[in-house]
Amino acid sequence: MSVYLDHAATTPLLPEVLSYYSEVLRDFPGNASSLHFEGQRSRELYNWAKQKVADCINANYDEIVFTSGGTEADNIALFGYLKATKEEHPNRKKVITSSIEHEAVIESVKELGKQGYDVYFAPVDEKGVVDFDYLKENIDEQTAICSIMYANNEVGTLQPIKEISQLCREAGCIFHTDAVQAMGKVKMDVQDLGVDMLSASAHKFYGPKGVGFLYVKKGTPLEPVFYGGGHEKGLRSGTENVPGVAAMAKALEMVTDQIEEKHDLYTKWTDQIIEACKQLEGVQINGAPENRTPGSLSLSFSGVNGEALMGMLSMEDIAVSTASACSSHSHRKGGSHVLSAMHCSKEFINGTIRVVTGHDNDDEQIDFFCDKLVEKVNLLRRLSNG
Amino acid sequence: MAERYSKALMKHFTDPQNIGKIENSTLAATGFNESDGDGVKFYLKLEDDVLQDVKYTIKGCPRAIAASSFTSELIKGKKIEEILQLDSKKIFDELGIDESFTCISMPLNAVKRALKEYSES
Repeated sequence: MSVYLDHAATTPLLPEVLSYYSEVLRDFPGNASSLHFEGQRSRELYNWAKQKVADCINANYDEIVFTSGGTEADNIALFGYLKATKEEHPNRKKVITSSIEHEAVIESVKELGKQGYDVYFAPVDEKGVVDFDYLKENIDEQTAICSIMYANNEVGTLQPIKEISQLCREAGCIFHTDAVQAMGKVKMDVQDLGVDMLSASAHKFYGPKGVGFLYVKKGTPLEPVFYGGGHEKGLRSGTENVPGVAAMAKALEMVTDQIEEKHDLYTKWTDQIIEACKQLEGVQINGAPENRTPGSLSLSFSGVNGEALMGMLSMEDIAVSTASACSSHSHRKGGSHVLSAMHCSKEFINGTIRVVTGHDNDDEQIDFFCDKLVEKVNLLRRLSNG
Repeated sequence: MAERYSKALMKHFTDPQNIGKIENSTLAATGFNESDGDGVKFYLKLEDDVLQDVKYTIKGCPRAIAASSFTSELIKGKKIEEILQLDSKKIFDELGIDESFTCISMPLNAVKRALKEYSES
C-alpha cells in the first residue's frame, strides 16, 4: 500500500482535473494572444478560467493575474507594489512580515532590506499565531506593505487575516497574504477578508504545477517586475498557459465545493493520528489545534530524528515530510525557522515530521499510517536506547 | 535541497548492524552534535589491542545511522593502530555522500578519539 501524506508539499492532480488538463492540452493548441480562430478559442477558455478563479474567491475577473505559481505571485506583489509607489510615497519605507513566512516571502523581504527598506519580522506565539500587538505597534503611516501568510506550511496555523487587513487599512498601507497553503482548504472570500493582494498556487489544491495566481484588488498600484510581451495587463509577460490555468480553475472549483465535507473527514483522520500518538510518550503536537488548516499535523517526537523517521516511513511507502534538517551540514544549519520562531525545543524540532492528509487518502491508509508511525518511532527509540 | 540516499546508505540505515550495548566493554566512545542533540555512543571491547567486539546506540539522521553501522563493521576485528589510521573518506565514498556532511565522519572520529586517549593513557 502506498500512502501519500505530504499534501502541503504538493498534491496529485484530481482524476477529473488530469483528464480535463489532457483534453485542453490536446484540443486547445492556439496561442491565446493570436487573432486567428485557434487563438480565439484558447482566449475564450483562458477568460473562462479567470472568471472561474475569481468566482471561487469572490473577486472580479480583472482582479486576477495568472502567474507561474506562488513564488512568482509573492514577488510580483511585493516588488511590483513597491516599485509602483516608491516615488509617490517616499516616506513609506517599512515592510512588515512574519518570522514564519515561506521562503518566497522571507527571501523577498530580505532582498528589500538590502535595497534600503526597513524590514520587520513579526514574532509568533508558541502556536504559530503572529503577535498582533507587534503588528499594531509597527504598522503605521511609514509602512508601505505588510505581508502575512494565511496558513503556515509547516504547522498549518491560520492567521487573523481579516483583523490584520483592518490594521493595514487604518494605517493606509497595502496588505498582501500568501494564501498558498490555505487555498482550497478554507473558504476564501477576498471581499470579506479585506486583503489587497493574495497569492495562490495550483499544485497545492490538486491543480497542475507551474501555475498560480495573484489577486490584486482593483486600484492597487502594481508595476511589472519582468518584461516581455505585456501579457496579463503587462504584469506578467509570457505566453498564456491555457491548459494550466484551465486545469487550475477546474481544480479550484472542485476543491472549493468540497471544503466542508473534507474538513470533517480530515478532522476525523487527524484526531485518529493524535489518538495513535497517545501510545507513545514524548510527543508534541505543534501549531494551533483549534485553528489550523484541516488535515495538517506537525508532530514532534523526543529521542527521534525526524529525517530518520521520515526515511523509515518511506521504506513502508508512506510519504511524510520532516522539518528537521541535518545540522551537521553547513548549508542546512538551524532546522525549521518556523518551529524555532514558535520556541519549540531543539529536541522536538529535530524530531518533527509533517503529516498532511488529502483527497486521495482513505480510512485504510490512515489505519496503516498510524500503525507504522508507532512502530517506527519505537524502532528508532530502540536504536538510541540499545 | 534534499539529497538522495544511495543504495549502500539505505542498506545500513534500514538494517543497521551491531546495534546495542556491551555490558563489560573496555571503553566507550561518544560523538555528539550539540546543536540538535543527535549523537552516537560506541561500546568497544578490546583484547590485546584488538577490537574484539563493537556495539553502539544512536539517535541521528539516516546518514549518521548508516555511517555508524558501516563504521562498526569496518573497525571490528582490527588492531587499534589500524583503526587510528582509517580515513573517513572511505565511509563517504562507500555511502555515496559528499564530505560536507560531518554526521558521516562523526562515528569514526569518535572511535578514533577514544582509542587515541586509551592508547596514550
